[in-house]
Amino acid sequence: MSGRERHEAPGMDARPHDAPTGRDRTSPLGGRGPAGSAREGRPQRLFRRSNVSSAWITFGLLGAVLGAWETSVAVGALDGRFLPPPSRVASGIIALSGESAVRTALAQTAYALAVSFAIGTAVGLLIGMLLGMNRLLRDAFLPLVIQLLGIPKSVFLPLFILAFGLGHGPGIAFGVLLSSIQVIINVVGAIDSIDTVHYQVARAYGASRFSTFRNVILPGAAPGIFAGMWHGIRNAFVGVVVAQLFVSSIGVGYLVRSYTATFRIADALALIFFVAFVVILVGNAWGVLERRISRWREPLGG
Amino acid sequence: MTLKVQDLDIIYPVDGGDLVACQNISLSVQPGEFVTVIGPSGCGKSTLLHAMGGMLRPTRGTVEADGTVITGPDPRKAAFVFQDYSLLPWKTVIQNVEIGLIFAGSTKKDARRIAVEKLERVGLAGYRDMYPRQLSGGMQQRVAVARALALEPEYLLMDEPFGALDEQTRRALGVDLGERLSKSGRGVVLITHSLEEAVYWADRVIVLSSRPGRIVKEIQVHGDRPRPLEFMTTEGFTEVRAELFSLIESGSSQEIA
Ligand SMILES: Nc1ncnc2c1ncn2[C@@H]1O[C@H](COP(=O)(O)OP(=O)(O)OP(=O)(O)O)[C@@H](O)[C@H]1O
Ligand SMILES: [Mg+2]
Repeated sequence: MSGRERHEAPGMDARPHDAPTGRDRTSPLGGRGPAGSAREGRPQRLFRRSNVSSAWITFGLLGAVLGAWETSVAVGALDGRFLPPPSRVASGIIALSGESAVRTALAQTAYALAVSFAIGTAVGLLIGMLLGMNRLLRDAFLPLVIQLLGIPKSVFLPLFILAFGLGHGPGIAFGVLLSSIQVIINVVGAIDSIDTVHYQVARAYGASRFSTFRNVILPGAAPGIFAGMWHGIRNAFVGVVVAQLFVSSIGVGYLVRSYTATFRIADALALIFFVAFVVILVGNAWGVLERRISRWREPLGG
Repeated sequence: MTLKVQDLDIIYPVDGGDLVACQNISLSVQPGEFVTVIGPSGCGKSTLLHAMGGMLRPTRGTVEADGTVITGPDPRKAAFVFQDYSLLPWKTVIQNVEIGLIFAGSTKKDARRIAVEKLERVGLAGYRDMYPRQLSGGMQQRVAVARALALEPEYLLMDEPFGALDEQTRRALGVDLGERLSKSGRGVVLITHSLEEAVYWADRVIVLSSRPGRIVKEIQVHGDRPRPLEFMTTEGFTEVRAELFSLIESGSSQEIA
């Protein structure tokens, strides 16, 4: 009856690698290190202690790559026409920030991202909760979602153009598809990761279904849900940009496409790096938030 | 309130047939009585306790509280202390003590007041805002006990509450808690693997056979509770302990044969 031993992972064994769930308990950004079960605090501490020196290594490597790139172009080992050096990319970023086309494209992409993340997360949370809490629905639908995770969804893009045209439609819709799948998988995993003994406690003390949801399921799954939402953002972004890159005539994706088509490679790179930088920033901010709501999982004194 | 189990059978349906966990168990626990249950691993102790707390429905037979058949958990009649790590890790210590009351329908305000008091009672007032994982195993179990006591239940149902603790901690905790519980006059049903615990705490020890769990023997332990630690050196204690030892040994050797 102790439950711990009999707590199985129903139907989730076939989970592909790129779908971390609450059970894995790793931050999407790797920020918390290879955190194991709630009772293994040590790996996290070790990770934390080495944080400062590991940051040096990271930045050192980045600097080395950029430096090598710059010199390769300078000495002619790389063709500056196809791969402009970092210095030109950097000045490109500054120059581009003045262009209204760029501002419009960024705003369009941000808008599409916000909408598709909002819808994708809402849909993902709802379906994920339903599948996570209802055995029948889970058995019926989870295998489908997992299969969907495994196939490259960009093959559906042409269908999205047919259905949604060339404006915001396909980007938003594709982002919704990608992000909701990630959120569903993560929410189900997060709910699964709750130990059965906690449900037993709720039942033994006469908890209503709502109270169980509020005090056990929601807080227990919150860290995993939060991690899942990050995957949601990331995938919404991928969906939006990929759709813009290939089919739409708006947004950053489209701009990158038209820059490369007209050989403005430095500008294309500038745009790409700028967007990557923003994504990394948002990711870090999200990581901070996530750590805050999973404080109860931190090791001693955390 | 008298807790009464009558002709209880519990059968789990499993792949390839039925698994009989408890067979033909009848027993009753009087108000304020301390009963310990001991038996080989997997013999159906937890199953029995869960049935007594209304957590699962017997296949045959009944569990009654003062003549009324129990059909579901009622924490004010019988509150559970689960094996280990049953605290909600995302709630602080004080919230964990409150939560039983809140689940049972108390208002937030009442729950807080009672929780503060119970936490003090188990000597953990200073830890109220910590998270369970910041506490030692023994402290966590004390919180779990406080959570159960907060409901002022007539019975406490404890499933190997100190199973995960080392000998010394569980003895210290046991002596302390045993005293508290004896003074509170609550009935207790406690599952344990430890012969010492089974005898030292109990008014009565119930010995279950290996699966399917049947009652092999009920042994009365004399001597008023709470008992001093020296009770373990008395003849009354060592005799019962020896008897339990041979009962359990013969039970488990049968299992191997
Ligand atoms: N939900 C269940 N479904 C099927 N079989 C179960 C279930 N719960 C318990 N069992 C089986 O019933 C038997 C008794 O289990 P129980 O947990 O009551 O044993 P126990 O005496 O408490 O053991 P332990 O001392 O190891 O805790 C075991 O063989 C167990 O595998
Ligand atoms: Mg058990």
